[in-house]
Amino acid sequence: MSAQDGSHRRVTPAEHDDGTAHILHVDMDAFFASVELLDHPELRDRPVIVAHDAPRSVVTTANYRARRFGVRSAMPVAMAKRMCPGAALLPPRHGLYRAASARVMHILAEFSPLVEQVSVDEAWIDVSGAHGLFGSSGAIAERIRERLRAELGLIASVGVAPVKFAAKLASGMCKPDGLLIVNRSELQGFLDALPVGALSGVGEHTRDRLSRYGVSTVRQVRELRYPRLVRMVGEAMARMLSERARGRQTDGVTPVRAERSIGREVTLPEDLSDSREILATLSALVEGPSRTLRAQKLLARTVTLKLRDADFQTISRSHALSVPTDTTQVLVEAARDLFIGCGWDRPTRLVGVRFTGLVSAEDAPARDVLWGEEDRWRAADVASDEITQRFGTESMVRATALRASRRRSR
Amino acid sequence: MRLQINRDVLSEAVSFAVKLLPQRTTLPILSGVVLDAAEGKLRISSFDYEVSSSTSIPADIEDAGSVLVSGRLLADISSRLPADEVNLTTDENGRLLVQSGSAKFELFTMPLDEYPSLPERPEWQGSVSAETFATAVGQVSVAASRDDVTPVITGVQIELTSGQLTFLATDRYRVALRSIPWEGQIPADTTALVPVRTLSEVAKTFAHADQIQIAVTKDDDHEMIAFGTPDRLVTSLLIKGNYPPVRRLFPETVANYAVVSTSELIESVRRVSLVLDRESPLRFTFNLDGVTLEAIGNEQAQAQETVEAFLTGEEVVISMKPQFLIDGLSSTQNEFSKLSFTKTDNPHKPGPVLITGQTSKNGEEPGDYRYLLQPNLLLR
Repeated sequence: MSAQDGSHRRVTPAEHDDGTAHILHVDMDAFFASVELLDHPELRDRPVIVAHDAPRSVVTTANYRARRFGVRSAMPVAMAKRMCPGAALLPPRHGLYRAASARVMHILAEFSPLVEQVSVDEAWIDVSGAHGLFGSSGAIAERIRERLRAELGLIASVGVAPVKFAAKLASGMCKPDGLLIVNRSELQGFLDALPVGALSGVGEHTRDRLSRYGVSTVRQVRELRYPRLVRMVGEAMARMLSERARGRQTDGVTPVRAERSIGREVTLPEDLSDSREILATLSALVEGPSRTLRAQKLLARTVTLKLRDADFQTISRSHALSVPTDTTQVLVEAARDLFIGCGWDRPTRLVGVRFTGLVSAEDAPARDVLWGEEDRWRAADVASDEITQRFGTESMVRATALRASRRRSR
Repeated sequence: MRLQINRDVLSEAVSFAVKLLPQRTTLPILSGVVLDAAEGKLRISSFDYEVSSSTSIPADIEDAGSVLVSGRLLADISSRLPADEVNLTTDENGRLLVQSGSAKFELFTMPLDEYPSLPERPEWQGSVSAETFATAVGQVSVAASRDDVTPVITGVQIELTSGQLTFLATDRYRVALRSIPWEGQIPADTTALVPVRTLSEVAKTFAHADQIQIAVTKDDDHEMIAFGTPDRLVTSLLIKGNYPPVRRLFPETVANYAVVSTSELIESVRRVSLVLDRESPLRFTFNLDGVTLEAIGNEQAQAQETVEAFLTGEEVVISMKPQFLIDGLSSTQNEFSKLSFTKTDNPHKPGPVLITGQTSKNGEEPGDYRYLLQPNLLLR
């Protein structure tokens, strides 16, 4: 919905703020690419694409120079290379981005204790209590942008609005390197002009149903009578839409743990039909995120498996563990059981695994058991973490994953 | 086949054979029991490819012969027969007639030639006192897991060395261990993981005998344990898999411990936990006054009681599941029990409690039975 190349960019000066908007949405511009560029200054003026250079892999991020050629996130790498043959292709280094993300969040936290990190590269901040120290919301937004640029060399766009979802919409519109302030008096006009699909939670399905009745903008949604809206999209969606269309959002900025989920997915170089090969890929895939869990002293309660077939049909299946864990073996087994349990037998294009329900390892309740299967694997995890830290993540894999790594290196 | 037999002897033998069979079998023929009559003995056997049993009982044989009939049916019938004396006869239609007093039953039989042949009596490796064996199995099997999700811990691990048998069982919350002497000579130390249900039945039924013979045999693809007395033979395939290394969980020496009267503490636990919800733990405070049990069950009731305990070391507050504690205490089979309190590195996790038996308040413990229990978290 938002043009990724910044062609329809809208910005306002910091002085536009009239003191009625207190929520900032800070969104880092082309975050992974920008972090990579800090390491590769020689590429600064060139198009840069962050992606694995493998058949069928997809673009993780591209810098704005590459986006001018039409390169977008989630686009197949092969297509991106055709569009922008001169682009430098860098493999993603998630550890680096997480470290940069932590520095960003650290700066944000200096302005307000109410920081809600949404993902690795965006966060909401409620600055209603910060005006005495740092000035207006607009001034704070500019200060944050300056500090990120000066101290980290990273560019951020900031949306300022009275409610969270509007601040996020605003940051999306002022990208790249922009500031957009939506005062309370402007909020309704700002929303009215948007296509209804711009609202988060409105997917293709809802958009289609509304468009059948000729409804395509937020304004049209707002002008519908509620019972009619319910008939179009159902009770839950109608309630959400009618609130959003009027610029209402009840949930405020809630500081949460840095990461709500940790996961990894991989588009396979070629479709896999052999379930043993898919299982091997899955074993290999769990390795990285479970290492991240341990590094961040987190335990996962829920494991989600995602599978996509050659026709882009996607399913996901979740399993809640009885006890939160960070043990690779337990997580591998949970993912494996999900795979076996869902009876998947289609040629597979993408395999993903995600851990949610994260709790701090320190806060987790101790268990009432004398011993667990996990105990035997814990020492193996600790040793393998040390080895991979020194010699790289490829230096050691589970034997069950060997089949997958052989295949990849072929 | 034509024979006369005592009802109770028959009933006991048939019900033992049936008990070792699984509740449901995939092959109907395996739910049968084989009756073989020859030379003054009736042999009753069952087999489901995992567990086999055969029991020989004295009978008055007129005509020898063999027949395969439904085990459960014959067990139910023979336990209800009216007279002491039972006549078993096969007729020309291949049916088994069961007669006792004026009661008559006709049972359809199954084709014997389709029934698998039972494992043979192996070369025995040693023998053990049946009574001691039964005691040890009873003490340890309380701690075995009943949850089929993890098959290895639904077994009792038997470690056989020359001169000693050690039994181990765990369900993750506790571990029980008992060693007994035996007259066994085996070439190399062996372990056998035996399904707890089979082992308990064998221990109970064989307890009447004097000695039990034991052998562990390994074929190309399966391992088996056999238990025998002159009249009985039970074989069982071993559970496959590695038994968790739980033996090392037992602490060496513990300085902090309390000695209690076993029966007094069991009685008190039973009383106080009446107000508890199922599965709820009970709180214990061990200090110089004794041990105080506190149950805060639900909104409706709570209870408290203090019984005598002789504490060495510092005061201890822990919470334990009533049934788990009772299992450990009653299995010490001693007048006094010693509860040793260990510590862990994790300040949130209480250390396991080791329960052992003692013959007197300050006497040395016999040391052949040990029960290690993980306490619950203190919620207050």
